[in-house]
Amino acid sequence: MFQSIHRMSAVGAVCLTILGCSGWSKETREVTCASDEAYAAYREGLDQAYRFHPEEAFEALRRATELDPQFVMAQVRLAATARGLGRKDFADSVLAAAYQQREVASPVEALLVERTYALAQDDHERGMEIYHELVKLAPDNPWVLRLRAEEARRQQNFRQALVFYDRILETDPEAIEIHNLKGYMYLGLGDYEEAIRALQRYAYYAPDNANPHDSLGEAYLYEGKYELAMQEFVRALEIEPTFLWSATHLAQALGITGQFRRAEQTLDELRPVFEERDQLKWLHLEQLKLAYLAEDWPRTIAIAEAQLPLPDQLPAMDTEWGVWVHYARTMGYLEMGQLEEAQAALAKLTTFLDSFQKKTAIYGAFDSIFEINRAALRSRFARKRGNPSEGIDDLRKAIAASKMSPHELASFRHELAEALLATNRPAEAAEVAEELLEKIPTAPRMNLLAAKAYHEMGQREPALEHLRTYLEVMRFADEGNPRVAEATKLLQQMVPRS
Amino acid sequence: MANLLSSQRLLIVWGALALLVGVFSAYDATRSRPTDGAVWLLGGDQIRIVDTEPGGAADRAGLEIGDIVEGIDRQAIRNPRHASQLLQSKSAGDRVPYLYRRDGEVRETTLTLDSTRMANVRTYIVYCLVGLIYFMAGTYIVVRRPGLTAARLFFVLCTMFLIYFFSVSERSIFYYWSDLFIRNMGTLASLMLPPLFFHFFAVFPQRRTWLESRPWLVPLLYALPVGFYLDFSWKQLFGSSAASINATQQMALGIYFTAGLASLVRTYAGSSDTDMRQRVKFLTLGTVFGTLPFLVFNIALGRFIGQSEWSLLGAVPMVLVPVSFGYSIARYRLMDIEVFIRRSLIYALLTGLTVGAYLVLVVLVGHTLLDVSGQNSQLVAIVATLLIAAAFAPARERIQGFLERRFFREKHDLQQALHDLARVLPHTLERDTLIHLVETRIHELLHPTNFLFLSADPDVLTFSSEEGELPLLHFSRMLRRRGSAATPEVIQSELLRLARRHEASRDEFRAEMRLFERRGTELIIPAFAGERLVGAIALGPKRSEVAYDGAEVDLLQIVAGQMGVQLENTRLYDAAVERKRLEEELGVARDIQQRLLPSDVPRIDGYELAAVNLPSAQVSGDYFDFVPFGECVGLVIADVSGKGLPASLLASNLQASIRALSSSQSNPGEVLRIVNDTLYASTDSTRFATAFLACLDRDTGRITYSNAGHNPPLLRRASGEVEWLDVGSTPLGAFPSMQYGEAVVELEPGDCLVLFTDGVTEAEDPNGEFFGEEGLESAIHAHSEDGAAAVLQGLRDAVDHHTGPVGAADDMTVIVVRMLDEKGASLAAARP
Repeated sequence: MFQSIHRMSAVGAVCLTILGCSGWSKETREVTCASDEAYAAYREGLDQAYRFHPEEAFEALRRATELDPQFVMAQVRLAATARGLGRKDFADSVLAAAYQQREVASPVEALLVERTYALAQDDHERGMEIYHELVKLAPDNPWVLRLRAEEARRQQNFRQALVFYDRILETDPEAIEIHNLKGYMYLGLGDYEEAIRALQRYAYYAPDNANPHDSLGEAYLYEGKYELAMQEFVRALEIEPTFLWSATHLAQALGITGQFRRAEQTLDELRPVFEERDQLKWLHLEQLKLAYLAEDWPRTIAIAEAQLPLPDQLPAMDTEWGVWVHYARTMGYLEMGQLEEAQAALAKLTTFLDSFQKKTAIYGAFDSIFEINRAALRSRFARKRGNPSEGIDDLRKAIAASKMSPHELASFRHELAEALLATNRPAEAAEVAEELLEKIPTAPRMNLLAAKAYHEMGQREPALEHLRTYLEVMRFADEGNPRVAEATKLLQQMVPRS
Repeated sequence: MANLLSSQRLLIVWGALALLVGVFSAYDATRSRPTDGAVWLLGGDQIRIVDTEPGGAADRAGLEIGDIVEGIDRQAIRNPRHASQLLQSKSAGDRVPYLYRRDGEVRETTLTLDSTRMANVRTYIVYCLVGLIYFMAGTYIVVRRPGLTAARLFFVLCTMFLIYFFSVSERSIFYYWSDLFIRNMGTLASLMLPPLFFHFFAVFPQRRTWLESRPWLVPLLYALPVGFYLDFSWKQLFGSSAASINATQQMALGIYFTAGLASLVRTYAGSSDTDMRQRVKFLTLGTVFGTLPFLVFNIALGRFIGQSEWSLLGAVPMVLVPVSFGYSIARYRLMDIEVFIRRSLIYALLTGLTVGAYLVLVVLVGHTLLDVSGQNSQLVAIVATLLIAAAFAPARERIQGFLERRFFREKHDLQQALHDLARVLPHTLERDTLIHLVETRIHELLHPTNFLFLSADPDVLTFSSEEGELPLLHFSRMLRRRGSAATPEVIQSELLRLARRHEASRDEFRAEMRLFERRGTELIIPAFAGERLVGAIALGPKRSEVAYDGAEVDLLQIVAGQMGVQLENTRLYDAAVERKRLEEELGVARDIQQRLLPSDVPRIDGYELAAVNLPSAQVSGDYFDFVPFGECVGLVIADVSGKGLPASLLASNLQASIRALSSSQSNPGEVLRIVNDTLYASTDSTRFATAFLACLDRDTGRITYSNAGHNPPLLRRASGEVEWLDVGSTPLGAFPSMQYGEAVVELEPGDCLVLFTDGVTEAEDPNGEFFGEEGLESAIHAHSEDGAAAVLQGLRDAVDHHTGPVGAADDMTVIVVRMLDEKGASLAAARP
C-alpha cells in the first residue's frame, strides 16, 4: 500500500511541477489579442516607442495589426505613433477602424478606444466622461492608470501621479517611459534627487535617444548641477544634433552660468533647424531668456517686440512663449526706466494672463501660476518706482501659496529677496535666499544676493561662502560680466589683500 | 535510506542517476556560458547581489555586495529569473550595461561577461577521476556482494562521492538551471556523505551493538542532514538570503566524519581476531590517511577559513579509501569478495599498460640520452633505443609477473593449493589428520559454509548423524557410477532415474538426499582409490554466495583424488600397523601360553598321561595344567574367552589362581567357586573362562571333579561305555557367587579319560560340519586299546582328517589319562 502511495505521490508531484512550470512560464497578456506573434509584435512596438524609436515602433505595431486585424489596442498605439510621425491621415483611418471594431475587445479596451477617438475629435468633454467610466470600471488597468496619472499631473497632484506610475511599473517594469514621467513628477515636487534617479533609469533604458538625456539634463539643471546638466545636453545633441530641446536647455544652462556667448552660439547653430520646423518662436524665446538673464535690457526689449503681435488664439503649449514675450518686454522697459512703456507692456501682459487663466480655468491648478506672476510684477514695479516694500507681502503670500517647484519659484524668490534687500531688510532677504539655496545650493543669482545680504548684516563668513559658491559656478562666465565683477569687488572688499 | 539499501532495483536506479548527475556536471562544466560574476538570489522580487567573484566581471565593473540590479542590457528586470534569461541570451565577452542602485543612488556600469567554463580544468579532471574511482569501487563491491548491507552502504557512499567530486566546479553562479541543479546535487552529496560515512563504519567491519539494539537510530542519523538539505533547497529556490552550508552545519557534519573514523579505528584497535585485524588494517590506514587531509584542507581551510587553494591536497588523498578497499579485497578477500578478472581481459589491459609504459620509458630515456650526448645520428638513435629496450625488458617482465601474481591470485592460489597438498598429503598417514588438512585447506581457499567428509566402508558411504551411522547405499552407488563431482540435484535426478529403472523405492533415495539437504550441501566430490570409493567430500555453499566454478570443481576433484589415494594408503598403513601389532601381540600371547603349559606330563604309576596343545593361527586362551592338589594330582583344562594377548593373560591369571588355591584347598568345587568370584571381580562381563578341575587320587583312581561350564570330558570305560563328566556350574567369571558341585568317578583299568577344549569338537570340515562329540567318541573308541599317547595322536589324526587341509580354526587342547591294566590289582587292594 505504501508503495502505491509513494508512486502516486511521485506522479502527482511530477504533474504539479510540469503544470506549475508551464503555468509559470506562460506570459500573461494585458490586452486582447488572438495571436502570439501579434502580441509579440505589439510588445516590440511599445518597447520601441518607449525608446523613442518611432519608425521601428510604427513598423512593429503595423505588423501586429496585420497579424491580428482585430487587435484594437495595437491599432490605437499605431495611430498615436503615426500621428507623432506626422502621418495624420493614416492615424485617423487606423483609429477609425479601431473604433468600428471596438466591441471585439474587452470593455476596458473598448472604452479606451472610444476615449482616444473622442479626443482626436476634440471632444474633451466626452473624453472626460469616458475617463471617469474607465476609472470606475478598471481602476488598476495599466492603461487606465496612465490616464489617472495624466489627470493627476494635470491637476498638479504630482504625488498621486507618482502613485499611479509606480503601480504601472509593478505590473509592467518594461514601461520605461514611465521613468521619464516620474522624473518630471519629481521635478514638479522639487525632489530633484528622485527625479534624477528616475531619469537616470530612463536614460539607461533608452540610451540612444536624445530625450532621456535631455530630461536628465533638465533635472540636473533645476537642481543646480549645471556642469552635469550641460554634459547631458551635449550628449543629447551628440545623439541627435537637431534635438532642439536640448539646444535650448543647453543655452539655458550656459546662460545661468554666465556663458552667454556660447549660449547664443548654440542657438544660432540650430537656427536653420528651428526655421525648418517652424519653431522659430522657441528660438526667440530662448534668446529672450538669455537676454533677460544677461540683463541686456535693450536686447530683451528688441527680441520681445519682434515677437509681437502675438496671435489671438495661442495654443496651450505656447503659453510660456506668450507670457515670456510680454513679461520680458515689461521688465525690459522697467529696467530701462521707461515707465510708460513698461506700464503699457504690463497692461498687455495682464490682459494676456487673464485671458489665458480663463481658458485654463478647467484645470484650476494654473491659477497660482498666474497669481504669482502678477505679484512678482507688482513688486518689481513698486521697487522701480522707489517703493520696494509695496508688493512684498503679496509676493510672499503668492510664493507660499504656490505649488511650483523650487526651480520654478527661483526667479520669484529672487524678486522677493531683491525687494527685501532694497527695503533694508537684509535678514529677511537672506532668509528667502536660504530657502531657495536649501534646494538649489548652487543657484548663482541667489548666492550673490545672499552674499550681499549677509554682507549688509555684517556676517562675513556666510557672505564669503556664498560669494565663493557664486564665483565657482560663474567661473566660465563671459568676460566683463557685470555681476561677476560685482561679486569680485565685493569679495575683494571682504577679503583684503595681505 | 532503509528502502534504498534493501531494494536492489532502487540501488541500480540510484547508481544510474548518480552517474548521470556526474556526467551532466562534467559536461556542464565544460560548457561556455556567459556569467557576470555576481551571485544573487533567485527568491524574492529583486536582484540583490550577495556576492561577487573576485576578479569577475561584476567585480571589475565595480558592483558590490548589496547593490540592487534594476536593469540588464538596457532592459528593466522583472525578477531574477528574467535576469537569468537575459544573461543566457548573451555570450561570454559581450559588454552588457547594468543599471544598479546603491545607497539610494542610481548608477550605470558596463560588464564584460566572463565564461562559466571551468577555469582550472586540470584540477577538475583530478576531482572527476577521484569520483570515478569511488564509483567503480562501490559498483564492484555491490555487484560482488549484493546481499551485504555494508556493501550497499558503501555503494551509496561512493555514489555520493561521485556526485560530490563531479559537482565541485567551484561554481557559484546559479542563474542557469543547470548551475542550480548541480549545486543542489553537490550540496546533497556534501550533506549526506558524513552520515553515510558514519553509518557505513558503524556496520562494517563490525556491526556496532548500539546500532543493532537500536535500529531506530538509523533514520535519526540522516534526519539532520536531510533537514539541512531541505533548508538549503528552499533557500536556493525561494529564499531571500544566500543558500549555503553554514559553519554550524559544517561542524555538525564534521562530527559525523569524526565519529565514523573513530568507529573504524576502534574496530581495528579493539579486535582480538588476528584475521580480522589483518583484513581491516590497510582499510583503516587508507581511510584515515585519505579522509584526514580532506577534513583539514577542504572542510577546515576551505569552508571555514575560506582558503580553497589547498582543496586539491585534500581531494587527491581521498582516493586512498577506495584503493585501500580494493587492496584489502584483493589481498585479504575483504567482504569475502573474490577478485575475479578474466585472464584475457587482464592480459589485454595489463599487457597494454605495461608495454605502453615500457615503450614510453624507452623512448623517453632514449631521447634524454641522445639529447645529453648530443647525438643526432639515426643509427645511433636506433641502437640506443634497442639497448635501452633490452635493458628494461627484465624489469618489465618482473613487473608483469608481480601483477599476475597479485591479480591472478585466485588461480595462483588454486595452483598453490594443489602444490601444497601434493607435497604434504603423501606424508600424512593419519586419517584424521589427512581429513583435517584437506578440510582446512579447502576452507582457506573456498570458504565453504560447511565441510563434511563421508567415509566409505568400503564403497558405501556412511553418513554420521544423531541417529547414528547411516549407510548411503543408493547414493554411494550413484557416486560410483558417476565417478565425479556433482551437486545434490544432479545426483538426485540420476538417483531417481536409477530408481525408476530398478523399481526401487524412491523414498529411500529421497531419504538419503534429505540428509544432504538438511546440511545445505551444494557440492559432493567423491574420493576414489582405484575403483574403490573411499569417501566423499560434501561442501556447503561458499560464504561469498558465489557458485563453485569449473576451476574450483577441478581443484576439488584433484584434491579428492589425492585424498582418496592417500586415504587408501592410510588404511593400508593402519592395517599394516594393526597387523604388526597383532602379530606382536600374538607373539606375546603365544609366549605366555607356552609358558602356561607344563613342559612335561607328570609320571604317575599306573597311569598313562598325554597332553597336547595345538595352537591355531590366532592364539586363544586354552591351557592345561597338572597341579598338586592335596594328595591328588590335579588335572586342569581351561578355555578363556577371547583371543590374543588378553586371553593369554587371563589364562595366566586363571592358572595362577588355581595353582594357588589347589595348594590350600582339596575340593575342586571350592577351588572353582573361589576362582569364579575372583575372576568375576577382576574382569568385565565379556571375560570368562570355562574350566574343568579334577583331582586324581593316584592310589585309588578316584577322580573328584568340578566342571565350570567346560566341555564335559569323556570317560570311556574299558567296557566301551562313555560317560561325560559335566557336574559343575557356570563358566568362571560369568556370574558371581556360584557354587560348583563336585562329582566322583572311579577309574578302572583300561578306562580312558579325555579332557578337551572346544577346538576339538568344533573343528569344521570344509563343509562346515563340526567334528563334534561323536567324532571324539569315535576317535577314542578307535584307540581304546592304545596308550594315552596313541589315543591322543589318534584323536589328532581324526581331527586333522576331519578338517582337511584348512585345519582347525581354534586351538585344540587335549589331556588323556588312561589307567593301566596292571594297576587294577593294586587298586583292588587299595579300595575298601
